[in-house]
Amino acid sequence: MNKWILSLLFISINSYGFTLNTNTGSSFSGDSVKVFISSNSLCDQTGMTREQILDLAMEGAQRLWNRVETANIEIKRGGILQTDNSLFISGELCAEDSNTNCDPNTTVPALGDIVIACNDNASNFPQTNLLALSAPIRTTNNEIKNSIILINNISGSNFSNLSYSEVRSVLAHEIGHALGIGHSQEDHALMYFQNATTLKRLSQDDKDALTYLYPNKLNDCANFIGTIEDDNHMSGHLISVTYGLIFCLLFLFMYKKITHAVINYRQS
Amino acid sequence: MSFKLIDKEKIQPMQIHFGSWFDSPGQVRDSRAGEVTGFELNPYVNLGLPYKIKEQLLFTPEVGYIFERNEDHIAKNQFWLRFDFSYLVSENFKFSVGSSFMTLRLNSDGSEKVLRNGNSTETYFRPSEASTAFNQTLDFGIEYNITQKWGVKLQSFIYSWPLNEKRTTSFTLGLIYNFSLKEYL
Repeated sequence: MNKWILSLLFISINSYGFTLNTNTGSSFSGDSVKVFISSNSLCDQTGMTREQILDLAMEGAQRLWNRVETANIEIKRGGILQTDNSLFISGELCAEDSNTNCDPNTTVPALGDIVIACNDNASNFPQTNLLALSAPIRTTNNEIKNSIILINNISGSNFSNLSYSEVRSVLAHEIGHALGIGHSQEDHALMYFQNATTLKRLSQDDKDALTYLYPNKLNDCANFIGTIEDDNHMSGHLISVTYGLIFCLLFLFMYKKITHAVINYRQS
Repeated sequence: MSFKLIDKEKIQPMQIHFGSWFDSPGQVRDSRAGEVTGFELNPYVNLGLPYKIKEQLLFTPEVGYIFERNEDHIAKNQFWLRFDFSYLVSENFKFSVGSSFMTLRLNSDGSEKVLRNGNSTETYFRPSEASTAFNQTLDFGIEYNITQKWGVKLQSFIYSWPLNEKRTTSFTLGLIYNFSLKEYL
């Protein structure tokens, strides 16, 4: 019995090995990030419309990244980003703090947190099996200002052969990069370099990476339990706030009782 | 005038728990085929000091620690501070409700790692500083005393309660050893 208890103390079969995009651990500030798609993206080689791509990106983000209980970041739909900047659709992606050999795209307008674009620059996609790429393109003092996700829109791109669930996984993976997360060595992680056919949940590596960059904080009484939900889940919002307020009142009541007791004790 | 904030007579024998923390079983992806994590062993230790409020009601402040999980330069440490109310259903059986302040600390050495990226490789970075996440959980537990000294406890920790898409549940299953401080003082 004692040997079993002792061995239990030293067994842990979980594995961890997430990485970050930058050596400074850059991340967005605030607790929400909006995802846009550029209006000048034709996406004609992807087999999908702009709206479908944005829908699938948001589905992936909401099913995966928005459900990490220890992280405080919510990915929201931004919509169509009105722009005629050709860098989105034909420019080469040059990220800050990356291994690329080109200059960072400082001329890309700082319009949205994360911008998706369908791009046909052969330097970005030298092979047809490269589906998409992404990186923070503007960072200041460890804070990501803008990230860009480019989808391979070159004729013959393998992106057009993907199923909806595969596109969802690819875009969720790229959103992970846009948030500042690097690749994982775990083959079951969303952030593994190869696309998975179906992906309903994140791996522990993915969750830890997001938690590292966007840790949940107990900021105020109303945020005592998890994160307040968006407008589509008002019941959860109200109950969370109510529960938080109950805790606040309980805390104040206990504080009052203890203060009263200490005063009485001193007087005696 | 005299006032007793804590009645020493109501302090119960101290409890030390040890066993395994089960991190969100069934809720995390664990294989490329889509299988999810099961009940993986993560050793923990917990110290509690029960205080008798009424005949069948106990209040137990507790501190707990899950032993460091460390792989590939990433270290993960988890602590908690719990406040637990237990109801003695019978002499040996307790049901408890409480809440924990969870602290999850992740850190690494800032080293580089070369990983596959598309058809080539790229250098990625491990964290160089620690990051700490805080959560409050809603906890339910059942405890059975096998002898006067030894017992078992199953405890659930519900994150992001209630009605939240982020809600997950973790568990601890452990042995309890009761010991009176008076015996040692």
